[in-house]
This record gives sequence, structure tokens and C-alpha cells, in this order.
Amino acid sequence: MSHLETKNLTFTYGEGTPFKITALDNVNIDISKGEFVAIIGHTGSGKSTLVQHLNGLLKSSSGEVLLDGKNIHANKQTLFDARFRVGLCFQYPEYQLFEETVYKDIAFGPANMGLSKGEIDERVRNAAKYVGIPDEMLSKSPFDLSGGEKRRVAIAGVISMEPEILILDEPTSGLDPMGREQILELIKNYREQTGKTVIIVSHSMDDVARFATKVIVMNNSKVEMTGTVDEVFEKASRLREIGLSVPQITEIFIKLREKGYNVSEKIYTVEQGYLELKKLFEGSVTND
Amino acid sequence: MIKDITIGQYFPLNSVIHKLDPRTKLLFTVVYIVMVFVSNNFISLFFCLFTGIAIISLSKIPVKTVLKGLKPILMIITITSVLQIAYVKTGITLVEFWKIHITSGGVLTAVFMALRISLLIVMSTMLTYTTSPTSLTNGLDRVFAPFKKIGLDFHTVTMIMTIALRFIPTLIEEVDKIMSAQKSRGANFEQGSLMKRAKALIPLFIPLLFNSIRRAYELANAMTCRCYNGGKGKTTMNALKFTKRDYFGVLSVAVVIGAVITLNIFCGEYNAEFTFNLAV
Amino acid sequence: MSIIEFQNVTFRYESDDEGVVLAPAVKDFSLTINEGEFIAILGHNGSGKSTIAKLSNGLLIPEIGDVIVNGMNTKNEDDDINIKQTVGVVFQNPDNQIVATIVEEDVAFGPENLGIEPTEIRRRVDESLKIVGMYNYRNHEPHKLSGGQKQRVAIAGIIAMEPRCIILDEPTAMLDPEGRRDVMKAIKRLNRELGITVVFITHYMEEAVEADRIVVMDDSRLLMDGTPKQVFANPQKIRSIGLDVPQTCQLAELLKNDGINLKNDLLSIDELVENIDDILKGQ
Repeated sequence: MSHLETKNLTFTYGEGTPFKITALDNVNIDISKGEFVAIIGHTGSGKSTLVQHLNGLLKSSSGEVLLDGKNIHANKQTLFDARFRVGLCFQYPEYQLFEETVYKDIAFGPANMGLSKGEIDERVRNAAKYVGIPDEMLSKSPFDLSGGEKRRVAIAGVISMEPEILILDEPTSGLDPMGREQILELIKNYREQTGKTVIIVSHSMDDVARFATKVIVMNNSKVEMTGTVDEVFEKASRLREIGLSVPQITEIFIKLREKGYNVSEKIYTVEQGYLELKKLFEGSVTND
Repeated sequence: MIKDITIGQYFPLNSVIHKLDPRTKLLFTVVYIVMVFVSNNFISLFFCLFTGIAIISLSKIPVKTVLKGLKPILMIITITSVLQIAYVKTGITLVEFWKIHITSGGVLTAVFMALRISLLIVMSTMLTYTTSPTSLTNGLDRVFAPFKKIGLDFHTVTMIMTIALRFIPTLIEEVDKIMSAQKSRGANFEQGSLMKRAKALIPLFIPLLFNSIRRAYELANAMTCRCYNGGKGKTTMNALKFTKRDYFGVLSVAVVIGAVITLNIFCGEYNAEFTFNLAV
Repeated sequence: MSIIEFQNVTFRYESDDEGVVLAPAVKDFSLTINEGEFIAILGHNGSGKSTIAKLSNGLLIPEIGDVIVNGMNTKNEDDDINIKQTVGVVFQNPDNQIVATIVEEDVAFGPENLGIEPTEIRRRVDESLKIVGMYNYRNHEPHKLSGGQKQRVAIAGIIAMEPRCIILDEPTAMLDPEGRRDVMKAIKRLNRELGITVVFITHYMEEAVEADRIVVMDDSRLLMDGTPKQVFANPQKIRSIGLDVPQTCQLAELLKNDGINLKNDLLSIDELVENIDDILKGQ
């Protein structure tokens, strides 16, 4: 059964003015429990607008968002619940930290949910663990941390609400390779340990190829493709047309195929590429 | 609401009015505002109105855009008009039932005041619509240059104005983003007592403050890298130069002053009955 | 001829808390940047690379050692404007570098501060905007542009001062792939067509390989200095300091460990594909 679903979602900015912009155009997505979804698209493709609909921050001009089959805008209570059941972490979330201590900042969400002190404490410590924030850091001011640490604290601030669905908008943007790796790793571990649904919004195909069980490609305010990583990357030329890139390693194999080598095109990681090429080299040796 | 405010916005076009020296436009706007206040009868005010219409049409800015500037003060205009109708009891009675007593004098005064306020707002907006902020600040810079001798450094003020105008849209966007992010963590900015609502703003203002300080620091570095040293020896790309157009502009300023004073004297002080009779 | 010379430079930031002495952000750093070069400075966050950008035009002054720009010491305050005009710096966040509310007026800001004649400013502004491909946006408001477009306006603002060297401090870190591509294109043009010395600070490997020379920083020091091929010939060392190696290098490394006789200096996809093709055909 679908867990989170949108039906004919359409959203326009500046309705009734000459500057009207359609940001979402009849968008239908369907996400099941436990999936690891990547929403990719270039800037302005509508992907950020889409995720802001999923926890009810924005309300569409037409169409609906269904959480476990129920419209999240049905009444005040369903909307209030959607905020916490669908946790949304914005791009550059470190710029939203405000509390005196890391602990208090992570506790902001759970406190707004009206939980007891004991429950809040448990959730804060749990969330800190998931993002690798040690206990002694909890009493520090978030403004004294490094960029990567701030980002992790901000993500913990959403995880601590224990949402059924965690959405992260461009969680790795602006980080160096090590920081990027850390964030992706913690998201992967979080999902493996909790089994919860995770949605990542990204323009980096390299990031999503390794983890995603489902890819949704957005272009021009519409859903351009939906499928597994294999199914989407198969259309490499179309991806390039709409301003997205495919991983470098995939390009290597596309070029080898063009040269007439019988290699798989479904190569997205260095590891896969290595094994495929090893086969190719061994094959050519035995053929001789 | 914030998005409705048009004063301070620039509407780039290539019209005669846009090309005028900012000093001419500053002079004109100041004189125009004074003249609108000085106008003591409908004919003087209509003259101001026609001058305004002429300038708007010369500027090629769509009428709709110009009128948009009135939206935020519609409330003020309405209240003023209602008050005038309620208190001015001269002229003939137009409507009378229960406690309401509307006279021709009241209606005409209301129209007079509404027109006066509208002209003030629209023509102030026209100044910024047709003059880029940098050009406007250049103009102010030059107009106030003599004050430097008495220790008033106006350049700093104009630089601050430019930067403020540049960063207002950026900050509005940022407020929007932080609000959305905190709402996603369950923050509630709309409900509760005044005290509660004020408290709810902390998660908005603290990040905004920190981010602004960071921005200010980075901007200062960037400006230093571009050899900014407080305006010493600064030239301007669009150097202010009085052209034929500007002399014509100054001439028209003189005409407006002359016309309004003459009309004030000859048509006499604003008189509701007289004007009403004239209109009928 | 050298345009910037770092001579045993050490620099430390002052702490906000009184009495606390911070570790140096740059330690005993020496580097000569030659006129016309295209250098990439690589390093993870906190390695000291941004401090290098600020030291290079006198925004920061070394605690020990000297920075010499075209014969002028950045410690000499009399040369300050001259140094900043010779070496322009573009920063990471394009939003926080644009001063004016109209694109062309922003680009004019630098030359105006230098007291250049209005007609000459006009010429420089038009030309700079054309170089970065933003001439058609000259009357736009900066806040309505995309990140990549804003960053190109910021670059034009520096070019208009006609510097001999431009330092770019992670100019692509906040941009999407399209914005990064356009900014990279503009930067390459500056170097290849206008002959301006470019120092490009980044942590994106794919961008660093475009440079003639790569300087790798780690722990506030200079760790490696060489051509991209020389630097990436040592993938283990690069990885050990928390940086990535281009995927082509990673793949070649794994295959070489298996005894496959690939060349040592494969950086681009085409080079790798070509080399694999040659080996397979040769057998």
C-alpha cells in the first residue's frame, strides 16, 4: 500500500498576476513504506516545491497529498500530524540553528510536539547518536561548531521528531568530499537501523546511485521519469538533455560500448566498474 | 503585504524621464510635493494631477504598475475620506437618514484629500520607479556634498541606503526560508497569546541576526577587495550631467510653481459650495 | 615572472575569547604564483585554503613571513589599493558580494572606487559582462538571477578592475551543476583568452583537473605541488587527507593493482577509454 502519495498536484506562484509561475504541474508520485527515494532535477525543476507540499507547508492549487490514504489538509489535526510524521530538513539547515545549546536545538521539534521531558531527552540523545554527535557536544553552543557538525546537528533536529518519513533537501550541498561522505553514510545507517522511509532531494546523481531504491526525475515542474536506478540511468542521454549529469563511471562504460565492447551500461559505482572491466580483460585473455 | 510596497522599487525602462538627471527628478519631486500641499482649490490640484499624468505617460511605466503603489495605503485613504465626510458639514445635504448626514462639502473635501494623498504617494513612487537606487543615491550624494564642509558625511548614508535596498529582497527570502524550516519542526507563528507569539519569533530572529552579521562581514570583505575606501576619489559610471532635457525639466518645475500659485490666487481658496456649483 | 609570492607565511586568527590562542590557520607556507598560470588549490574544509585567498591581496596580513604582490609587500599600507587592484578576489557566496541593485552598476563599483573616467568604466563594464556571458542581463536586478548568474556578475565586477590575477575562493561550492559549468567556462576564458592569472580554490576534483598546476593543502601546510597528473598519480596520499580522487583515477588504480598495464596519468574519461581500448586491441 502506498504510504505517501500525491494526486494531480498542481501549484502556481503568484496566481492571478502577470508573473504567474507554475511550479508543479499535475505531479503524481507514490512512495511505499521503507523505500529510499531520490528526487532529482536541476534548479527550478520543482523538486523543492514538491517536498514542501509533502509535510503541508505549501498547499497546492489543485490535487492532494495523501498520507496513508488520508488527505493531509483534511482538518487542522491531520495537518498538525503531517508536520511531525513527515520530517523535512531544508537545504543549508545549519543556518536555522538558534538555541543556546545543541541539546536545546535538537529538542525544539519534540518540545513543539508536546512530549514529556523524559521522552524529549530520550529522543534528543537518540537523534544525536544517529548523526554522530557525542554527548559532550550537546552542551555546546551550536554557533561554535564546524560547518559539518552544524549540518549534522540540524539534521538531528528533524530526526528527533521521529518522523515516519524523513525528507532531506540537498543534504550534502556546500560540503567537502569528507563531509559529503559522512552525511550520506549517516543517512544510510539511519535508514538501515530504523527501516523508515527516506527521501533525498539532490542534483548529484553520484550521491543517489549508491543508495536509492527508487528515483523520481523532475523536469519543468513535471515528473519526467520514475523507476529504479537502473531504469533511470538507462536513459542517460535524456538525463543530459534536461541538464542532469550521469556519474563519471557510467560515462566510461557508455563510451566503451560505443567503441563496440560488450560491457554493461548499468555501472554506477567504481566497484561495479572494476568488476565489469576485470571480466572484460580476463575475457580477452582467454579468447586469445 | 511586504511585497505590495512599491516605494524604493526601480522599473528600468528607456524613457525621457528615466534619462533625466536624478537631481532634476529630486528637485521636481520635492517641488511637486510642496505644490500638492499648497494647492488650495480643485483647479490647482487638477493642474497637479495633469502634470502627474503627463509625467507618468512620458515615463512609459504601465498605469497599473503605478497604481499598485496605492494598495498599501488604501486603508489610510479610506479612513481619511470617511472622516472628512463625517466632519465636514458644509454645502447642500446629499443624504440624510438616521444619524448619517452627508453633505456635498463633505464629499468634495473627501475627494480632495484622497486625491492629494494619492498624488503624493504616486509621485514619490515615480521617483524611485524611474531612478535606479544607485543613480538616486549619486544624486543625493551630489546634492548634499556641500554639507561635508560642516562635518556631515552624506556619502556613508547613501551607501547604507544602497546596500539596504540591495539586501531587502534577499532578507525577505531568508525570513521566508527560516520560517518554513522552523514550521517544519512544529513552530507556530500564527496562534496563541501576544506573549506566546512574540516568543515564537525567537527561532526566526536569532538565525536571521546571525546570518545577517555573517553577510555583513562577507560583504565588507568583498567591498574592500573592490577597492572601496569610503568614497574618496570615487567616480561614477553614469556621471551626472545636466543636459538639454534637464534644463527643460527645471523650466517645467518653474512652470508648475508659477501655475499653482497663480491658480491659487485667482481661483481662490478652496470653497466646497463654489466648486460644487462649478461642477454642476 | 612571479605575480604573488608567499614567503614562509604563518597566520593565526584572533580568538573571540580573550587569552585563547588559536592554532595557526596557515603554517610556514611558501608558494610562487607565476604570471599567466592557472592554479587550483585543493584541500578539505579547514585546511587553510580560504585564508590563503585573504592573505594574497592584503585582506589579512601574515604574522610571520611576507606576501609579495608584483613587487609590493602586503604589509605596506601605502600599496594597499594598488595590491587590491592587481589581485582581485571572488568569494563563495555570490549574494554577499553584490553591492548594487542593478547588474551593470554593481560591475561598475570597483572601477568607480578606483576613480576611472566614466566612459572608460562604461567600456570595461560592457566588456566584463560579455566575457562572463551576462551582458544581456546588465539591467536586471541581481536578486532575481540564479546562483551561477550572480557568481558570474561577481566575477565581472572583479574583471572590470582589470586585475592581473584573480583568486576564486570556492566560487562553485554553492551552485548547481549547470551553474558550476557556466562559472567554470567563464574562469577558463579569463585565463586562456585574457591571460589573467587564475588561482582557483576548490574541493571538487573534476574542476581541479582543469588547472595547469595543483597545490594541495592539508593541516594548514602545503602538502603537494605539481601538475594534475603528478598529483593524482598518488591517489592514496590524496585520499588520506580526506579528499576525493576522480573516479577515472580510482578505477585505473584498482585495475593496475590487478596487474593490468594502464598508463600512470589517466585523468579524463576519454584518456582512460582510449588506454583500455589500446590494451585490449594490442592483445
